[in-house]
This record gives sequence, structure tokens and C-alpha cells, in this order.
Amino acid sequence: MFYDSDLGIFFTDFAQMATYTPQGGTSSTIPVILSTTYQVAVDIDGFAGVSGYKIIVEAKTTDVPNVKVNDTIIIKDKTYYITEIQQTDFGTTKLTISEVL
Amino acid sequence: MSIRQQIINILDTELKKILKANGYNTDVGKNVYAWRDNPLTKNELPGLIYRDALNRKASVSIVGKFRWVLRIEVAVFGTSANEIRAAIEDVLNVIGNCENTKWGGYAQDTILADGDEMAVEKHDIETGAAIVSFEVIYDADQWRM
Repeated sequence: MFYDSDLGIFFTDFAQMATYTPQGGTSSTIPVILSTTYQVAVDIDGFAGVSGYKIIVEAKTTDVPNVKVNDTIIIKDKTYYITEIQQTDFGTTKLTISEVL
Repeated sequence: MSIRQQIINILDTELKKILKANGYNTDVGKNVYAWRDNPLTKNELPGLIYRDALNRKASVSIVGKFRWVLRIEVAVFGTSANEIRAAIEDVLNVIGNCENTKWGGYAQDTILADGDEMAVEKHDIETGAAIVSFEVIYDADQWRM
């Protein structure tokens, strides 16, 4: 079982700090877990496409309670736009992010 | 060497000339691949892959010849919709130049088959692609291509 107290330990041990800014709102520094997933883009009509990756950051849902698409998050001085939002049943929210709006 | 191979050789040579230094919109000619089946990397953008996917025999040929309709598909890849549009124009320009010489005298005609088909996706970065399809009509001796 994964308890709320474990969540805090998990983020304390593995997270890095990021700056989350809701549109029209105030920035806050929150811990996030960064991960990437390989994917091929624009593999149209049987052509090979372009290799790339999807970037996903996982945050505590309490840190991003009203997150919306196109909110921004800064990680290591690079600004990303949130493109997809997925809340888990474990108290976290996974955010797919992109360098482009 | 077959006429089909000669036409493909000309195409490959001309596509590799798509460089800004030669007056084109893009440097897509730096990354030209035939029948590549593994994805391009970001370092290979802009780039293109071409394939001669279909060589159809025309129903009517001149006496002693086979008339072939060689369908060629060129897929261009880049990092923005604007770059893809620019690369499409470059590829069209190359096809036009080849048609002007009738592919070095090997072909009878060139037909732009379907225009182009374009897609743009945003993942870690923006990535776009478009396919330009055209057909080269040429005559070869019977049972040759």
C-alpha cells in the first residue's frame, strides 16, 4: 500500500524543484518527478518519422490543484508548457509538457 | 543500369542540392535518405526520405516498348510548419527542374500526383512532416524497366 505519508517521503527523496506558474496566477516552487518516454513523431503514411520523447512531470496534486493546459513550468531554467493533465489515484498529477506552446 | 535506376540517381543527386547556398529555402539536402526505415533524429532535421514505391505499367505503350509510370514519394521532416512548407516548395522546385530536362532524357513526362499531405505534432519540440507524391512516365524496352 502507498500512503499519503509515503508520498511525502517519495518526493523528498526523488524530486527536483520546479517553478509552476498558472496562467494569470502566482508562481510557486514545487517538487516534481521528471520522466521521459520514447516516441516517434509524424510517422505519416508508413514513413519512419522523427524520434523524440514525451516529457512527463509528476507533482503532488495538492501542489497543482487547479492546473490547466498551457500553464507553465520551469525546470532547470527552461520553460515548458503543460499540454496534458492526468490525475492519478495516488495523490499525484502527471503533467505532459512541451517546449512549444 | 535500368532507366528506373537512372531516374532515381538523378532524383537523389538533385535532392542533395537543396541547400540555402544554392538558392533554396532550406538545407534539407544535407539529410537525404532513400527508403530509410528508422526514424530521423533531431540532428537530422530538416531532412527527407524518398521511396519509389510503385512502378505501374501503363496499358498503352509504343510498339516495342513498355511504358512505365513510376510513383515516387518524398517525405520531408522539419521542426516547424513554416520549415515544412519551405521544404515542400524546395522539393517541388527540384521536381520541376528534373521535368524540364525530362530526367536527363530518360523520361517522357512528370505528373504531380496528389499535391502534398502535411502533419505537425508538438511533443518535446514541434515536429512536422509532409509527403509530396509525383509520377515519372518513361519508356523502356520490352521486359525492361
